[in-house]
Amino acid sequence: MSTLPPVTHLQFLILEALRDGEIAGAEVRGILADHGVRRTLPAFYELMSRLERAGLVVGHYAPKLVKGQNVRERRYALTAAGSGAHEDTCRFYRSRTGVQEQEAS
Amino acid sequence: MKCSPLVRGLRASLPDGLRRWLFDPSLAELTSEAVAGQSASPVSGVRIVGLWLHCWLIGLRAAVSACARRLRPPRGAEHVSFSSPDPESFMQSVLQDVRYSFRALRASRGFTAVAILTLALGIGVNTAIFTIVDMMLFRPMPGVQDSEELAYVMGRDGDAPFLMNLSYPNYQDLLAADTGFSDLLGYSWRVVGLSTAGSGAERAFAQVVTANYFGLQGVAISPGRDFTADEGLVDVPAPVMMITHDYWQTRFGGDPEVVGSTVELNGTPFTVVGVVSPAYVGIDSMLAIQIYIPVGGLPALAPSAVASLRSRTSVQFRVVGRVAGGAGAPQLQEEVDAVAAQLRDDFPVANADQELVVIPERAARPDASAGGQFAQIAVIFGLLVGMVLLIACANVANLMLARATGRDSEVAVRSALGAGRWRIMRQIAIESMMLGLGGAAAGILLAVWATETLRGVVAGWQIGMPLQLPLQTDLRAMAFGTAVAVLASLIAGTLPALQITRGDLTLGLRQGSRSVSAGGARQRLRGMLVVAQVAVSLILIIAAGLFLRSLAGVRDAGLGFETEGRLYVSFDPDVVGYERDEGLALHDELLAATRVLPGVSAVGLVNSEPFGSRTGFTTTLPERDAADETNPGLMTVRWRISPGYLEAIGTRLLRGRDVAPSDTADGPLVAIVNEVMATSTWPGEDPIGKRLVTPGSGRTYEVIGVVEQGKYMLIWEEPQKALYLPAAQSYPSTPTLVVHAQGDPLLLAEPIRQLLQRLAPTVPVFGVMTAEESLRNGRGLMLISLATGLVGAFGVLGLMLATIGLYGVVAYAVGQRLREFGVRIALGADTRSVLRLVVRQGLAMSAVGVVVGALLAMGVGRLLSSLLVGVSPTDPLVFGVAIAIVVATAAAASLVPAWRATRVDPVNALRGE
Repeated sequence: MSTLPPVTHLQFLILEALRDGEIAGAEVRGILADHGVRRTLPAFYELMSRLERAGLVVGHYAPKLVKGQNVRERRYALTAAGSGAHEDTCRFYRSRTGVQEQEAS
Repeated sequence: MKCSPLVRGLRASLPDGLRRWLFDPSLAELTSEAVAGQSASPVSGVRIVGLWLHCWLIGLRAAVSACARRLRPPRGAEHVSFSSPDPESFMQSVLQDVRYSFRALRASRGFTAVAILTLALGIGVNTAIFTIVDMMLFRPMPGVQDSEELAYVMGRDGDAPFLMNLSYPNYQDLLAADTGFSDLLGYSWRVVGLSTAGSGAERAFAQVVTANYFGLQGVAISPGRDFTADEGLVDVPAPVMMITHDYWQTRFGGDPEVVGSTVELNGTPFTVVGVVSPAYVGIDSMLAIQIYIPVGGLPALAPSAVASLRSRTSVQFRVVGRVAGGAGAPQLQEEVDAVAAQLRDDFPVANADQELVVIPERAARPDASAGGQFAQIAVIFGLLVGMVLLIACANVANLMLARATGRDSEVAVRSALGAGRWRIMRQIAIESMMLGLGGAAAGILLAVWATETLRGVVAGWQIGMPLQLPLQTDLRAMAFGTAVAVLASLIAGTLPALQITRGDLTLGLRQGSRSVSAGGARQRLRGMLVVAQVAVSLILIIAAGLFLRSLAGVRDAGLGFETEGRLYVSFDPDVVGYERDEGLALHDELLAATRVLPGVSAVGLVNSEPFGSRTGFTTTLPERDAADETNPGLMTVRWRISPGYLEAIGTRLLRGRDVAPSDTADGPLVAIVNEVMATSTWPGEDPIGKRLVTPGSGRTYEVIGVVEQGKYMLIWEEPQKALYLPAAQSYPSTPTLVVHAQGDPLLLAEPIRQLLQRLAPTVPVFGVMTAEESLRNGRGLMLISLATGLVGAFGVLGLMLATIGLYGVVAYAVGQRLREFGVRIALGADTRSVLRLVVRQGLAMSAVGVVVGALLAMGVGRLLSSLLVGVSPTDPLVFGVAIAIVVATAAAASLVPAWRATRVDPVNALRGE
């Protein structure tokens, strides 16, 4: 029997969002909002900090030019452990729903 | 960012984890959004404080969860008794109470919201006023080393109502004398015209300072250097200047190359040698100074000013000393008295009645000449906002008592399950503390908003100098807000806790929902709280009424000029180097061109608008006393006016004639005097044709007219002597054009600006405003306007809270007596008698409050009397109207529940019996 997935639905959604490469925190927040998950700024960054501290994502500040002004933003990327956790979660759901088998057949 | 000191302070106060993981990325995103314009408003202080509070809340929540996880007993462990003395289980039970209180507050969201909002209003206004009082009275001067060692030395001239500055020679004598001061600095103010290569002149506010100015205060200069001792001497070959950090940023874009470069002040090149540290907000913290010039630069700036540096009658220097170790105030005063006596002996004419007064720096805020009036105002406002807090506390206590009534059964159940009185009280106390903390968070946000608003209001005041209010809602203010919140919630929570837990706690259980354990006492207590609320709100409304009457009373206080339909336009030919003749020619052209503009009924020029900052003084003597060399003359307000000014401003000429175009510089010197001057100088005689001497200049003037008495410097002032001299004979270098318009005076602002632009393109125009605006926002009425606004807001707030309280009490009483009303109606009582019964109860409570409030208001009125104009502190009209408002509101608050009482169905009521 497969063990429970290592991340929550919300964390999975974030890992999924980061699968295609590094993006800014604001974009991640936008993707969550598209799924009906609204978080205030500190609550959202608390969520991200948990993932960061768990070693699933890595964040850094990058400069950004907005309307001629230099501002900075925090950008996030998936770590190897994050990719692994994402894979494990996908595998868990596939095993529970049989989606993989149907697709294979 | 605009509020970077605020951000810095907030950031520093967060633990590392919250700052790094939550605050910084959130702030970065907020800033990015604001810059991109996605956000509706820029990143304001309020949003940043909101972010900061949110971070704290998340941190606290995480800490509580971690604590609870650690303390949670392993599954299957034996239940821990409530009264266990074990510290771990005590902590656990407190956490349990916190969770329980949180759930209870969440369950009754309406109550929680109203209570938090009520407390927030009380805490917010108190924190805002504390922030101001803290800055004005308690904080050391920012950017100054050991500012508690500084003291002002001011002059007092006989019985003049305000303190005076010193002359430069008197300052030098004081410096040379052997006193307890290790060093003394001097400074005065001056408007200059600054221009850089390729730019026109613009007005800048400068302080002319002695060379030791920054050294004595220990102010850091970076980039650049301090003034040298040589640069403080009169007549330096290469004049220098320094700029403030703000001016460096706003005018010069923070360019480091500015230091060492040359700019022109009044057309003369000055080298910028340094930038003052941003931590330093100025010796007069409310004045937004832009440039510092050492005394040695004054001759280059204004050659005519050199004479004033040698004159003992030109009192323009404010003097501040650093007290050498250990010298006490009485000793300093004694030493300074000796210097004053010496000055009186050596220079009897200039220093005839002059005494010197030592004022510690803190007591001299915000303006040393006001003589510590701020402390008195601070006490009054502290008292008034304290009252608002008291009403808020009473209201929350009342709400909690009302809520307690529905909780008797709950308390009884908890008691039956083994909770002791202490445990129940503790839970209620925790609940009120949580309300208090919620109130503190919202209150601090409110305070940040209020201080930011006030900062804007102060910057808009028109006293002829740029003003600033360097306020910081920092940790001190937040600590104060939180302390007030804890205190308020304890006051608001203790009484209900005592009431709820009084008597037999199981009674509620036995009697079910119909219990009214200790109900009578509780109702009495609620009644008393309402009485207190009504009393305090009456006091606030009376205070607001007194200020409002003062505002209206100013019209009757004898201003001596009209404000309706008048426009002031001030311009400054001096800063672009206009000499006297050029200036007078410009005046004539401008007056002639303005006179023919459509909608202008009269026009004139004056050296300063009434209550403006450029009002001048001179000393005068009737000619008969001029031979007496020991007679120093009388201090007189001096106006320099053009022909037509009196008509334009609406000052009535009582006798003689107005200034005429024929009163030229070459003609005989003439003057107009006001009523007080005429009657006090020539009692019982006709002043027309009499002659006056100004001892300073030795000029003799013939009196040609008498005008009505007016107010010139302060609305509170005693009638002062005033002299009006023709502008052609006494040149006003920075004049104000006064226009009497037939319609809206503001419609003339743009045409006049264009006229000036055409006649003198380089001359800067400033202070275009109506006379009404000038009076309201200028030195004339700004304090009364502000006081009326603030106290009025407090009064309305207080009355609103008291109304809610009264409504709650009466509604509850009606709820308790519904059956009785049913029986009454069944027995034939009509609607009116039931209405009367209920309203009478509400009115009786408010009547007691009104009597108590009116008595206390008489005392408060006495406290306010120094700030009131033309109205008695016990003005019957104000008292009458305020009482009528309170009684009418009380009646309205009682009517709603009374109407409910009349709708009781007697059948249902009798069935219940």
